[in-house]
Amino acid sequence: MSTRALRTAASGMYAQQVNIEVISNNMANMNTTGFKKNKAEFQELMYQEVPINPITSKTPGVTETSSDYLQIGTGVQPSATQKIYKQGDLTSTGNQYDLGISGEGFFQVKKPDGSYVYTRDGSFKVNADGKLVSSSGCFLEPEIAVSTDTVSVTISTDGVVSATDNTGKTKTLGDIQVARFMNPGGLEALGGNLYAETPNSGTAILGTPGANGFGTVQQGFLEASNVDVVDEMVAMIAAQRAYELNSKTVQTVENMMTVENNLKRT
Amino acid sequence: MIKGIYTVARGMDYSRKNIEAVANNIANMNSTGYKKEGDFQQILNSVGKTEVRQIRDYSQGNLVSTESPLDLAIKGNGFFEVNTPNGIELTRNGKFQISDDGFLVDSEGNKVMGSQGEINFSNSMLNENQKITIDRSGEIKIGDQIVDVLKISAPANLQDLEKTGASNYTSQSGDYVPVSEDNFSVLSGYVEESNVNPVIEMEKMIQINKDYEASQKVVNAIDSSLDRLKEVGRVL
Repeated sequence: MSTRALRTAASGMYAQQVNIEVISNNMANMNTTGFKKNKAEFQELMYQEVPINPITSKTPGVTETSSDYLQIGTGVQPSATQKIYKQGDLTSTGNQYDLGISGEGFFQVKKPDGSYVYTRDGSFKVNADGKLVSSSGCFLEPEIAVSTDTVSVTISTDGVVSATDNTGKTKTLGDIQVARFMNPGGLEALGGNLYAETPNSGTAILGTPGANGFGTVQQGFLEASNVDVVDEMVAMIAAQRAYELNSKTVQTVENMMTVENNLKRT
Repeated sequence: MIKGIYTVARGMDYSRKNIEAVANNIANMNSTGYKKEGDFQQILNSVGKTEVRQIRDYSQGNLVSTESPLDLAIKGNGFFEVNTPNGIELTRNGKFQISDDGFLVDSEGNKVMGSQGEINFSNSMLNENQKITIDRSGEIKIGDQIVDVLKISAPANLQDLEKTGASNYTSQSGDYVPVSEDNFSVLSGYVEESNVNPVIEMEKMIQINKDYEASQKVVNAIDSSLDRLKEVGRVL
């Protein structure tokens, strides 16, 4: 017996293993600020055309030049992992530099090497020079500088940053902008909650928070990960069962091979 | 007598091909837009010859929300058309994205066809305040501007379709007819899951396995009666 069915089942088991790997990464990042969950995608492998003789064929053992072909599939392959950019819950932290985006968009931050990357993780800090930096040390762009005499900072939902100094005067420090993408699914995840633009995602479209299509900035909130534990558990159960089903195929085929071995007595 | 063995063997050959199809269905339980393969059946064709047919089940798969606007699912009849290196192919896998040069493409990079040919966003892509929306009839808009309408078509006869892998289908005759708008709706932000039902596949697997064992018993029985035949002719 050809081992095609065995290989098909093995490809199915491999696919489910990849699936579990993606799910476990989601689970591990359940509490990562601004994390967006991934979903593994699968697609069929090639099909083979297999000739088949009719049951009533008179010439046993010979493959007739029959027009009867069957298409038999050869399994499955993991094709991609897709980020799901669903809004995560905004949780209150009370910290004045914690920003959450409600709606679409990313904060634009500049890496030390000068390149721009994008993040939904708005846990900003003030560095030694008074500049707002992300938790991974990237500068918020456009830059916001906080002077030393600042007592409190207010950030409106449309991104205007204003500071109150120790004399009680209020002045505007700058505007925070958010970046949107035509196709956020095409962004490249760099790790560390950062995303880079790719030709697939399109270039970043910067805009005022709250304007058409852009999300608003919420001061004192952080966006929690959008991983839903129940969903992940369900996906995990489904993946485990699918893995078992594929292993049943292996068992069945093995049993059929035993049958073949016993066709001829001694 | 010997003919009996061959008939049984032929049946076993079918079982083998069927288990391969079942294995493929199970492996593709999570493949987007996958349509399950049914049993192979032998039928009499119009000129009275037997012919083997493959029955594929095109029933609707579950629709799952992904919240990505370029994930499209068809509810109802019809397929998306994609332009592959081998010509136009049909697919129910609507996981699309935008390519480097602004075309709407599938996950393999094949361009998706609209009523005016390949769909290109590059002219209208970089404007602020604009969002891609795709309505139920397949009309693609950026902001208020209509880009194109997705081409949803079907072959004249569903049984003519052949799979080419990656959830694509091609028809030997090569002509596809547009599906009437009443018979489908395009859902943006959804994908269609595979329509494989694991219970049915398990059931088939058990049956194929038992058929196979039974066939083996028949072969053994014929074999031992051939032994008896030798004894009939023995000179005492």
